[in-house]
Amino acid sequence: MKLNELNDEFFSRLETLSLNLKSNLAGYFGGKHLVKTYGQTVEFADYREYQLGDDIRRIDWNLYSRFEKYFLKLFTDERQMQVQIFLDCSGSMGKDNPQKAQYAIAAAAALGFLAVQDMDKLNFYFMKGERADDPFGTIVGKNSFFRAISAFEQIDFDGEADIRACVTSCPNVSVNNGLSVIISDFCTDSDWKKAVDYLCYKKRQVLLLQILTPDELDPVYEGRVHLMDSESLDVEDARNMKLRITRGMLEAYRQALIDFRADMHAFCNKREAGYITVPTDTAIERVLFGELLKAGIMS
Amino acid sequence: MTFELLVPLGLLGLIGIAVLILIYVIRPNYQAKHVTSTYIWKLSLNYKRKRPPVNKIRNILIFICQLLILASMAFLMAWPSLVEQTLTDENDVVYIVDSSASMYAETDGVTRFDRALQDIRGRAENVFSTDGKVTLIVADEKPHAIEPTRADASRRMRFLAELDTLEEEGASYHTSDIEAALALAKETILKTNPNARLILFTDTEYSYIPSRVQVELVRDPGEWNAAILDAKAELQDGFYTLTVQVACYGAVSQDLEVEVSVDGANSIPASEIAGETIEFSKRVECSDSDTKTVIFTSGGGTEDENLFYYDVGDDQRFFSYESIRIGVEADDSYTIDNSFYLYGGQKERLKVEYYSNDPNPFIQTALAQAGNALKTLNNFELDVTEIKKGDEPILEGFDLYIFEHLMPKELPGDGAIILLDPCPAFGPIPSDAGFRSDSISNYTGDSFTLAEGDDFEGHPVTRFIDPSTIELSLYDVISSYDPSYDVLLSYDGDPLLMVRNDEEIKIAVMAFSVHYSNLPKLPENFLLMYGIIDYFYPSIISGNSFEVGEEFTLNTWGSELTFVDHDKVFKAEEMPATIVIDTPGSYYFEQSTYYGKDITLEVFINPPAEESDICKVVDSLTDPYEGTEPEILIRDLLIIFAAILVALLFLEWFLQSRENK
Repeated sequence: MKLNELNDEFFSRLETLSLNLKSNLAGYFGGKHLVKTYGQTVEFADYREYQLGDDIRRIDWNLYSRFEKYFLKLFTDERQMQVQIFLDCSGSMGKDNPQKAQYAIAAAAALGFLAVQDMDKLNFYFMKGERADDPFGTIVGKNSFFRAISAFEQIDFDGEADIRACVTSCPNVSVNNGLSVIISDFCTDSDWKKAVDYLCYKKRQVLLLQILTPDELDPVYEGRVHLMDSESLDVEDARNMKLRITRGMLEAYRQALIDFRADMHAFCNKREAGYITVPTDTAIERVLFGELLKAGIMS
Repeated sequence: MTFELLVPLGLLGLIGIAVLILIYVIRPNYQAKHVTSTYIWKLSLNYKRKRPPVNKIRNILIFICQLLILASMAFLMAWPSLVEQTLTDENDVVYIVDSSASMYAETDGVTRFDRALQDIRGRAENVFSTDGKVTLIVADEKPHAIEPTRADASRRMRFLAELDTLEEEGASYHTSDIEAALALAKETILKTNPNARLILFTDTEYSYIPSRVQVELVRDPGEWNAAILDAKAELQDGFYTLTVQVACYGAVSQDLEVEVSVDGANSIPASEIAGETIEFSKRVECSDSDTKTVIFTSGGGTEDENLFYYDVGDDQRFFSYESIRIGVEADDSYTIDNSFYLYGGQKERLKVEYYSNDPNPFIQTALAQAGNALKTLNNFELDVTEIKKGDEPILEGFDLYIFEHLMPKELPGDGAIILLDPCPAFGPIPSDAGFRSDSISNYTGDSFTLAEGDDFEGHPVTRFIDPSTIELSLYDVISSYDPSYDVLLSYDGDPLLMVRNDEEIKIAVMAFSVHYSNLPKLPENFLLMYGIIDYFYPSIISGNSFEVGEEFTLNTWGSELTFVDHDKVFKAEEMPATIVIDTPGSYYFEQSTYYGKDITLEVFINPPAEESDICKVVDSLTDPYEGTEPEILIRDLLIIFAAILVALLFLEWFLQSRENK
C-alpha cells in the first residue's frame, strides 16, 4: 500500500500541535506533559507549609520573613506519557477500500508523530485476530518513529480483529500513564466496550477514532443487493447478507448508524473517553486541526 | 351475448408473458456488492419498519400486475368484443302461400288455395302449442306479410281470423311472384333468424329446391285444365277470321270441343239492321302442355299437329259482331280460363259534316286518310256527310262540323267544329266563334313559311307538324280572339291555327285556304286533320281484352266515365283514367259525351295465360337462406380493456414506488 500522505510536508504541519493529555496521569519522568503532581521543574506552582521531613533547602525564606511561618515553594511536574495506538487491521479497514486504510494509517501516524514530538513513548499495536502486534516496540524519538512508519506500507488489512481480545491481551498496557487510541470502524461483533472498560480500568486516557467511508455513512446503492462483507470468508458466510435496498431500508440504515454512533458517544462520555467519527473524504488535517482540537485531545 | 376476440392473432401478444417469466427467471436476483462491513446493515434490520402482511405479497402483486398488463395488451390487440347474435329460434316458421290464379284449381269443390290455408292452419296450431312464432306471406303479384304472430291468445285469434279472411277472399287472379315472396321472407325474418323454417305452399313443381326450404305441393294428381289461352278476331276480305289458342294441362290426351258463339253478327246499327247469333265449334285433340291453334276462317286451311282449321260457311261468316264467346266444354279443375270473350266488333261511328261553298278534294282526301287512321288507332269510323254546293248547312246531329270558306250564321251546339278559311269576304263569322277577322293579308305572290304559335310546344294537335314546311301566300287576318284559344301556328304574330277544347266549345280555326298553301302536297294535310279530330275525340280505349293486372287507359268524350265492376259502379273523374282490373270477366264502361250521346264499351279481362298451366314445373327456386347469417351485434370492449390497462399500469407504478420506499 502506497502511503502518499505520510511525507515531510504532512508532518511539518503537525509540528505546531501537541497532544493534550489529562493532568492526572502519572507518566514517567521526563517528558513535556504537565501533571497535577509537583515536581522539580522551574515553573512555580504553589506553596505549602513545611512539614517534618521536608527538605529545608526548599523553604521560602521570603515568606517566612513576612509571615514567620515556614512555607515550601512547589513547582509543576512534567511527565512523559505512553501513547498506545491500536490500529484495527481487519479486512473492513482496507481490504476493499484502500482509502480507508490509508486514512487510518495517516491518523495513526499523525497521532504517533504528536506523541513522539512530545517526547512520549509510543506504541503501535496492529490488531488482527485476537492479537495486537507491536512490531516496532516502544518508540521514542522521531528517528524511531519515522523508521516505524516507513514499515506501515507493509500492513496487511485482512481477516477479523477482535478489539476486546486484542486490547485486553496486550501485555504492555501500563496503568495511568498515557493515552490509548483505538482506530477502527468499530463495525465488529467483538465487544470493543470491554476493551475501553479495560483501558479505563488501567486509568488510561482513551480515544476512539472511528474511520468510516462516505459509502458507509451514506450508502447510495439500491435494489436487490448481495452485500459481501470484506471480512467474509466465502459467499455463504453469515456476514454476507441479501437485501432489497429500498428507501425505507436506507432510512433504517441511517438511523441505525446514528444510534450506533450515539451509543458509542454515550458510552465514551460515561467513561470520559474521547470519541470521534472521521469520514475518509475529510482531509486528515481537518480532522487533526478541527475534530481533535475540538475534542480537547489536541492543543 | 358471448365474449369474442375479433382478431385472435392478437393473442400472440401473450408470448410477452412467457418473455416476462423468462426475464424473471434469468435476471440476476441480487447484485453482488462488496462493502467493508455489513455490521450496520444488520443493525438496520431492527430499524426497518415492520411490513404489513399485504406488503409481503407486493412482489407477487407486481408480477401479477405485469402479467395482467401484458394480457390486457394482448387482448387489446385481439380486439375484445361482446358479440350478440340476434334471436335464432328454430320454432320460428314462415309460411308462404302461393296466391296465383292457378291456385283456384279445385278438386271436389276445394281449391288448392283452400287446401294450403287449411294445412297452414293446422301447422300453425302446432307451432303455437310449442310457443313458436308464425309468419304468413301471401305470394301474389306483390307479396305481403301478415304480422309475425306468437302464441298469445289475442294474436293467435287475429292470425286465425286473417286466415279466415284469406279463405273468404280466395287467391288472387294474378301470377304470383314467389321470388319476391322469398325475398320478403329473407328480409323480414330469415335475416334476423336464419334458423327459422320456411315452408312454401304452392302448386308449382320445382326441379331444384334449396335444402332448407320445404315445399308443400298442394295440387291434386287428378287435376287437369282445358284452357282458351288467347283469341283474336281479324277482318280478312271483309269478314272476320277467328284465331284461338287452346291448351290442355295435366291430362295425357283430351278431345276438346272449341265452341264459338257470335252475338250480334252482321248487324248494321246505322241502318238499324239487328244482328244474329252464329254458333259453330271445332273438336281438337290436345295432349298435355301442348298449345293448339284453331283458326275459324272461310275456306279453311292445311292442318298439322298443332294447327286446326274450321271452314266457316257462307251462312256463318260475319263482318261485324257485338260479342264473341269462345269456350271449351270440359269438366276440368280450373274453369276460369274455359271461356274467352271478344268485343269491339262494332266500331263507334263519328258523324262528320263537311260544308263548303267550294268543296275541294284536298279536304276530302285529308278526311279519308284521317278516317283510316282513326279506325285503326282510335277504334272508331268517320261517317262523312258532304253538303252539296248551294245547300244550307245542317247545324245539328253531327259529332263534327267542318265549315270551309262560308261560315254558318251561328255555330252548331252538339259537336266539335272545324272552321277552314273563315274569310270575311265570303260572309260574316259567327258571333259565338270567339274571334274576329275583318281582312285578309296582302297578296304579293310571294310565299312565306309558318311559325310556331305560342302554344305549339307539346300540343297534341301539332305533335307531328313541322311549321317550317308549310308555305302560304295569303291568309285571313284574325284581329282578335278569345284567350281560351290555343294558338298553334302563326305568321308575323297573326294566328293561323287556333284550337279550343273545353266544355263550352270544341273548335279549331285554320285561317287560311289550302288553295293558297302547299299543304295539299304535304303529309301535314292529313296529319293536321287527324290531330284535330283526335284532339277532340281521342281513343277511348286501346283494346277490348286485357290480362288481369294489366294497366290500360280510358278516355272519355264527355265529362265522366262509369265503370261497372260486378254490380259495383265506379266513376272516374280524371281523364285519361288508368284502370287495372284484378278479376277476370267482362266489364262495361259507360259514358255520355258532352253532346248527350251514350257510349258503352265492353272489355274482357282474361286470367294470365301462364296460370292456365296448373301443372307447371319451374327449374329452380332461389335459396332465401343464402347470405342470411345471424345478425351480429358487436359491442366493442377496447375502451374497457384500455381503461383496465391504464389502471393496471397505475397500480404497477404505485406498487413499484412503494417497493422502493
